[in-house]
Amino acid sequence: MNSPRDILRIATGGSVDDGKSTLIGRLLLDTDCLAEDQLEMARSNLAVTDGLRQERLQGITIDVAYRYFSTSDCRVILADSPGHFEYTRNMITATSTADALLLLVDVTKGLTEQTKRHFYLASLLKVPYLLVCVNKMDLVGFSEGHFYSICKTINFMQRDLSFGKIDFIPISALSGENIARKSSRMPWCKGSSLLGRLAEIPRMQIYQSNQTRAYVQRRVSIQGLDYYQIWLCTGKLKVGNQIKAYPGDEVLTVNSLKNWKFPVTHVSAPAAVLVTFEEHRALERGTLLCKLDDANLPKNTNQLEATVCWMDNAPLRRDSRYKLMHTTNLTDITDLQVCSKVDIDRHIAVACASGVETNDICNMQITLARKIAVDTWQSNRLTGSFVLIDDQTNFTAAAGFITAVK
Amino acid sequence: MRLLDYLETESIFILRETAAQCKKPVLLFSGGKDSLVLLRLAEKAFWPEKVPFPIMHIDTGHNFPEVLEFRDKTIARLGLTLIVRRVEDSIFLGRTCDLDGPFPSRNALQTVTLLDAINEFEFDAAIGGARRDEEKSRAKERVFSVRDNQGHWDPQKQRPELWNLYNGRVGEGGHLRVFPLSHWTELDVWRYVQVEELQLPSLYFSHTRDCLIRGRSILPAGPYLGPTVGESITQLSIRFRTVGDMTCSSAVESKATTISEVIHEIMASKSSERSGRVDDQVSDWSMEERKRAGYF
Ligand SMILES: Nc1nc2c(ncn2[C@@H]2O[C@H](COP(=O)(O)OP(=O)(O)O)[C@@H](O)[C@H]2O)c(=O)[nH]1
Repeated sequence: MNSPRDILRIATGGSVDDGKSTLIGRLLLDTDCLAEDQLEMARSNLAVTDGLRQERLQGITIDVAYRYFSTSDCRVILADSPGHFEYTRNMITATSTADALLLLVDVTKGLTEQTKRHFYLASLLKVPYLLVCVNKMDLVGFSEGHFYSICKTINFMQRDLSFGKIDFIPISALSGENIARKSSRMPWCKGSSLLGRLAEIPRMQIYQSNQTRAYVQRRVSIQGLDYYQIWLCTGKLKVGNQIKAYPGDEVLTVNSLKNWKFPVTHVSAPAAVLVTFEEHRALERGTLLCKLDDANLPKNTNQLEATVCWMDNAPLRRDSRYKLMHTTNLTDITDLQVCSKVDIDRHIAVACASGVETNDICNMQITLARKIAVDTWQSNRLTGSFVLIDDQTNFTAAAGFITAVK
Repeated sequence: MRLLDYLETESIFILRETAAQCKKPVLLFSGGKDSLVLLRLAEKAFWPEKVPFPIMHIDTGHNFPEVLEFRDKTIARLGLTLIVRRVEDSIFLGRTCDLDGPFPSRNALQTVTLLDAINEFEFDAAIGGARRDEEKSRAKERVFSVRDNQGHWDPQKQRPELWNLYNGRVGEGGHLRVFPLSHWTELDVWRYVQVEELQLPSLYFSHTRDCLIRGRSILPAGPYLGPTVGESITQLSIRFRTVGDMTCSSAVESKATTISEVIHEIMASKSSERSGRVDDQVSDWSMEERKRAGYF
C-alpha cells in the first residue's frame, strides 16, 4: 500500500464536556488508527487524548496534544486544544497552522460563552474552514429542529465576523453518527459525513500562496562558494529566477537548487532546499527572498502594527525586555505600545486600562531596533506572524499577527 | 505534496534551525531505525557540509552486540564523531545503581548517564528520534522542548510553538531536546527506510531466538534476562520493533524478512509499538515520570 498522498492539519475547539475527546477517539477508531492498547483505554472510557498525569487528575485536557490518523488518501494531523477559557493561548497555538477548525457545540446546552469566544478567535485567526459540529444529536432524538436552531443562532452571532468558509454538521460522537459515514438516523441532513467534508477541503493552505517567500536558515561557505540552506514557505522557485533579497534591496539570480546532492530545476513550498546564486553576496540568516516580479512584495520596516495574544503566565512588562522572532530573524524591540485590548465577548477594541495578562488579545505598535521585511497576516500567514520572546526567561511570551506596516 | 516529502522537508528545516540557533548540539543515536532515519535527514540537511555536530550513544551495557557493531560501522562510514557514554560507568562512579530483582532493566538508568554527558560536554541541544505517536505524554511535547538546569521537563512550562517559529533559546545550565520526527508515525519511518534504502540491524527482521513470554511481551532470553519462577524459554520466530536495552526490547512473532513484509505486518497488526515495552507497563504514567526526570 502506498503512503497517504496528502496532509491535512486540523484543530479542535469547544467548551469542556461538549464531547471533543469522544469525537477524537471516534475519529481514530473509525479510521482504524487506534492501536489495540489504546482501544482498551477508549473502551474503559478514558479519553485517548488526555496525556499527562495532572490532566487526568483534573479530568481535563490542559495543553495542546497532537494525534495522527489516516483516511483513504490523506494523513490528518490533529491538534487538540482544551476548552477552558484560561487556555485561549492553546487554541491559538493549535489553530496557527490548521486547514480547518472543528468547533464542537453540545446541542442540549447550546452556545456557551466559551464557544462564542472560540468563534471570535477563529475569525480573528482567519481559519480557512470552520466546521461547526453540533454534537450529542442522540440526546435530542436526532431532531432537525434542534440542529437548525443552533445553526440560526450561530449565523446571527457571526454576521459581523468573517471566515474563509463556515459549515455545519449534526453528529453524535458517542454513537458515531455522521462521523465516518453519512448517518441514516439523520436523513434530513444535507452534505456528507464529517470525514467526507474534511476530504474536500484544500490542504496545507498555510503554504499555498502566489507569493514566493523563502528565508535563509544558514549559509555555508565551501571553497569560496556560498550555499544557502533556505526554507521556501510559500510559492515556487526556479533556477534562473530573479530574486530580491530583503531587507537590503539586492537582486540575485538563482544559479542552482538542490535537494540534498541532487539538482532540481524548480521547487514548490514547503521545501527546505539548498540554493546558490550567480552573484556573491554573503547573505545573513533571516534574509527574506522574494521573486522580483511578484505582484505583492513585502515591506521593509521597523514599525509594526499587530494583534497580539499574550501567552506568558507573567504579564507584559513595559521595560523593553522582549525580542521579536519573525521567520529566522530575532530582533530587539525598542518600543512597544499597547493601543487597545480586544473585548472578545463584544468583538470590539477597548482602552487598555490595566496590564496585559495571559490570554489577553490586544493591538500593539512595535518598534524594532532594525528594519526587517514583513507581510501582513492577511496576505501571508507565515511572513505575517511572529512571536515575542522574553529575553530574561526565554519564554515564548506572545504570538502576533501583523495587521499593518508603516 | 506526498506525505513523506513533507515530513522529510519539515524535519530538515527543524535540524537546520537547531544548528543555527544552538551553540553545541548533539545527535542521540542508538542504531535503531528512528535514529538511522534521523541521521539520514541530518546528512541531507547539511550537505555539502558534514553533519555539524557529534553523535552520542548511551550504552546501557545490555545492548545487542549486533546493534553496537552496526552503530560503529554506520558512524565510521559517514566520517562522524561518535561519543559513547556507559551506564556501567555511572554505576561504578556511584551516580546510579541497578534496580532490585533478578534481571533489572537499565532503561531508566540511562537518564543519569545522559544528563551527566550533556553536562560534561556542555551540550545545549540533544536531538532525539522520539515520535509523538509513540506514547501519550509525548503527544503534547514540543518539537523544541526545554529542560531546566536539572535536566527536568515541566509539562506546565512548555513554550507555545506556532507556525514555523521554533524558539531555541535556553537559560543558564538548561538545554533543549529537539524532536525532528515529532509528526512521523511508525509506518512513516518504515516507509522512509524503504524509499531511502537504509540499512538496518538484522534484528528488525525475522529470526529464530530463545524467548520469554511475559504478560503481553515477548522478550529475548540471554545473559541479562532469564526465566523467573514459573517461566520457561520458548524458541520463536520473531523480529524486534525496538532494539534498545535487551531487557526491555520486546519482539513480535514474525515471518517478515524484508522491509515491505514488515510494513505489511505492521499495517495488519493493531498493537502500538510501545505496548510491548516492559518498562512502560510498570505504571501507566511511567513514561511521563521518566520524561520529567530527564529521559530521552
Ligand atoms: N449522549 C452523548 N453523549 C456524548 C456524546 N459525545 C460525548 N458525550 C458525553 O459527554 C461527556 C463529555 O465528553 P468529552 O468527550 O469528555 O468532552 P470534552 O470535555 O469536550 O473532551 C462524556 O460523558 C461523553 O460520554 C454524544 O454524541 N452523545
